[in-house]
Amino acid sequence: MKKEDLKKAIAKSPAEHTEIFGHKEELKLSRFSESIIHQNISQEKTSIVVVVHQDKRKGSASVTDPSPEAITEAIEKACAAARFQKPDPDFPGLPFSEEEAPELGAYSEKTARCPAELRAEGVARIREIGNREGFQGHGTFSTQASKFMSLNSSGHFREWDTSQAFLKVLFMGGPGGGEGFAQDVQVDVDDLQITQTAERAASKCAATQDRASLSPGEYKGVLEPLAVCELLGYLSFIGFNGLACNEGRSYFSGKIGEEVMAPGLEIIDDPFDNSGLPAPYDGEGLPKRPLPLVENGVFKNYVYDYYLARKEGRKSTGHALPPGFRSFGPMPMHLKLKPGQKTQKELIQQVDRGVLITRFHYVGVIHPQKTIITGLTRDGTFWIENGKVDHALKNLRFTQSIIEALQKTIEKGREVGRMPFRIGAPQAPALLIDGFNFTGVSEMD
Amino acid sequence: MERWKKLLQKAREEGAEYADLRYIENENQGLKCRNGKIEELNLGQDRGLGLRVWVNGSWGFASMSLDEANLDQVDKLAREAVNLARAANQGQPHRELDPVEAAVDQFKTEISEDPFRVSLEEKIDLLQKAHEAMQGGKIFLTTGSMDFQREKKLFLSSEGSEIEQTFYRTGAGINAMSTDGSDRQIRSYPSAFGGNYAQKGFEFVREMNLIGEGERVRQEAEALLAAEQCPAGEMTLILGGCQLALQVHESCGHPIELDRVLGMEAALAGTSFLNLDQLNELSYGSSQVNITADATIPGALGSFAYDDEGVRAQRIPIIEGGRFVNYLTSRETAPVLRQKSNGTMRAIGWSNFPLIRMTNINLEPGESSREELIRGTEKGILLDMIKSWSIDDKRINFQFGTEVGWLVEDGEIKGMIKNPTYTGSTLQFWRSCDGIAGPSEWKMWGVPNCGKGEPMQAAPVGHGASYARFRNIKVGVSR
Repeated sequence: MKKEDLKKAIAKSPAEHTEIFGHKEELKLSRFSESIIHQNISQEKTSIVVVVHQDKRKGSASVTDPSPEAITEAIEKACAAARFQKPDPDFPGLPFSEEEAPELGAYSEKTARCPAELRAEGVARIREIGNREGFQGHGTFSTQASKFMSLNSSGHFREWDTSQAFLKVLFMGGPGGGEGFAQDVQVDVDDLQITQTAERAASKCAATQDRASLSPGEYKGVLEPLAVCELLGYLSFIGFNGLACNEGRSYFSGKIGEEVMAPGLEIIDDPFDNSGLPAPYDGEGLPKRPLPLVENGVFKNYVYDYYLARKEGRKSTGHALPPGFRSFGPMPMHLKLKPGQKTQKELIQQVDRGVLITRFHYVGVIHPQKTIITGLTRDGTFWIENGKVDHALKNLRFTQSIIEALQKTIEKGREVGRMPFRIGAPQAPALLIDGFNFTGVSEMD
Repeated sequence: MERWKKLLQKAREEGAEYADLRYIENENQGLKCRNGKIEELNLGQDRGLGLRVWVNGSWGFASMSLDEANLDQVDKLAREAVNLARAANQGQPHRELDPVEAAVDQFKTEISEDPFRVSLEEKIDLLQKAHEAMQGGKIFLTTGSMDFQREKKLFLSSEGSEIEQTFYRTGAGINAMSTDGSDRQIRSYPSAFGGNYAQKGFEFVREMNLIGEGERVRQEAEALLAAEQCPAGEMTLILGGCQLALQVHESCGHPIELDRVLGMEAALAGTSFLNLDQLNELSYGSSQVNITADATIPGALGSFAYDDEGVRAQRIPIIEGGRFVNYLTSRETAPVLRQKSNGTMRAIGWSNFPLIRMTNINLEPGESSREELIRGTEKGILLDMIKSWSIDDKRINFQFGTEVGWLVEDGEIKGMIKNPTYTGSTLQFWRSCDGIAGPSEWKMWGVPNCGKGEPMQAAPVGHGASYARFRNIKVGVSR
């Protein structure tokens, strides 16, 4: 994928407006099961998406071949498709911005060049820790490098690189059938804490032997960072989503300036934070920048892409998804819930009777506008009694409004975790929630 | 062909005991209509190659997208895949793959009307007319979509298989969202989340009659606003085929994947409550429950002629008279059971490693009917059309929500109910089944996006189902 080829294709396009988004991705991934690598994979993918607008009629096409000939052919196809469209009176033209994003530590050459042997050494260390404890290790060790190019016929051009190294460890086993999970994600593979991550997972697995059942009901909950990150991820999609807000489908629709969460909660979308897999530009190549969404519990801002912003007479906030995904609406992909001062142990000490949750599994949305979701806990669920973790629990089903949980938040932890998505990673501390609704337990009858 | 055969040979020279490759050319067309406006109109093409090698009991896999400029670089895949397999081997014992007879064959989806020859103008017109049929009243948002794919796949193996398969996949659907200012409801047709899918041509879209169904979709979306909330408690549950397709998918299809059972998916999607010693022993459901895995049904979304290991497509029983009798297997996993592979390994596109995937996992028809199931229900609800879904990492505890439901009292349908949910435990649920509707109400449902693996692969699978009734199910769990 060469920028000269993409620029030439734009110059030759017969369309009134043309946009090209190019993405080259190299993924190396080792999946392990029972502490042995069972899938060892290398993927090299290129994808070019072209979008044309002629008389406010839009068409698009995509190819994996980045040659000038293939891109030109794709543009011709997109033009042919556009002819059948009805004009979109709201089409605002294509964006142009001279503003450049600051230099970010979004890319590591070491991650991009990480050899298979290094991943295998990592898995061997995990196996050693598992063998020591009598546990079997399952998980993934991956490294990924991406190059993005975004350009259009308004003369806008941006290119940027990102990388991520990701380790997930699930230990299973022991006499009582324990399960413990931990993960780490970094831009630079050298920063991955392999041993510490595996030790955390092993410690959880040791603590989850012989799990007891808990009757469904509402209990105080201490949600560890991974569980909170999952809530944030869903809130991005169904709540902060700019299109959902615009169409009245979001809880936040029409609520700017209103208190929507517990006082003291602050959520910012921060694409520049090096801990959260930073990204300098959005899917239209416009610069991203930090945007406060909730301050002291009060909802502050909607997110926009160029189309939605111009429709409402505003400026893009840099939240466009790449072409092909834009019908989902602009979304914040780097949510960060500001941490507090207390350790997780101190949060637990505040609980007389409650549940400690490591992470969630298979979450589904029941009511998007009320942000009601359901899912299960997994890989480390514990009963807290008199300020201490008392014993391990069988996995629980919850049915809970995310917003209500954030309204009932009474304390924040200080250690922050993160959960990578395709773009960015939500970051959050543990939360103490005064009432989390559990509606079932995972056990055979 | 010769170029790819040389690549296999190169892999063998590098040290592979076995190698196979998939060269795939893919063309797709996607249309998304939102409130009458075509919001996405995308024409896609991709081409690439994935090479898998087996070295001393370990897999290595390397793939790349192809274009004219990089065709001469494909040889590097041989060395890369073998290196990956060697790096994966950390002293595990040598294992043999289940032997398979080499096949030289061709397969093509039978279609009546090539969807790529139907004009975009006609497709757009159809979606816009469906929107017109749905709009008005309390409807604030309508959407419609169509997806078409033609996948040409060449499979070659170092054991001599040469299999060319061409698949046509077609899907379409519509939905309307209603509001009365405070509440919001949705109705979809023929299924939610993109509609129904099949290995058929454009005739599949024409048979849906999207325009004709638009008015009913609108009426039901509006009626839901005024409907009663789903009652809470334990009662009889009748599920329509569309919802049963999901129920089968989540609580039968995934648990029987042998790679899950063996822990290969543990860290992501989880494992399975099924153990190896439960084969032929476990009572999975009532005696009325018969489930098959059938990759041979013409036109069904999960059908094929050969899987991505060159194993011939099969129809196998999974649950017979309520008893669990088969897992889905592969060449690597079948020897664990001392069985032959039943041919369920598939990869999505050229870039991915094949995994054990559902084919068409069907709840076979019974002898009852929708009307008879309702008549035999004193107090219950009839639910259909998936809205939300969740199941635990062992596939035991599930909770599903549907778009719509109806109260059933004294053997008759009463009023419509909204926001229905039901929850249960897999074995208890299937053992409580006391009636299944017959062949005349049995239909195939296509699910184009069954997620599994890392990186995530969204596979096309199918489920046949009619209506079925379950006793003493907990309903109305959402607040």
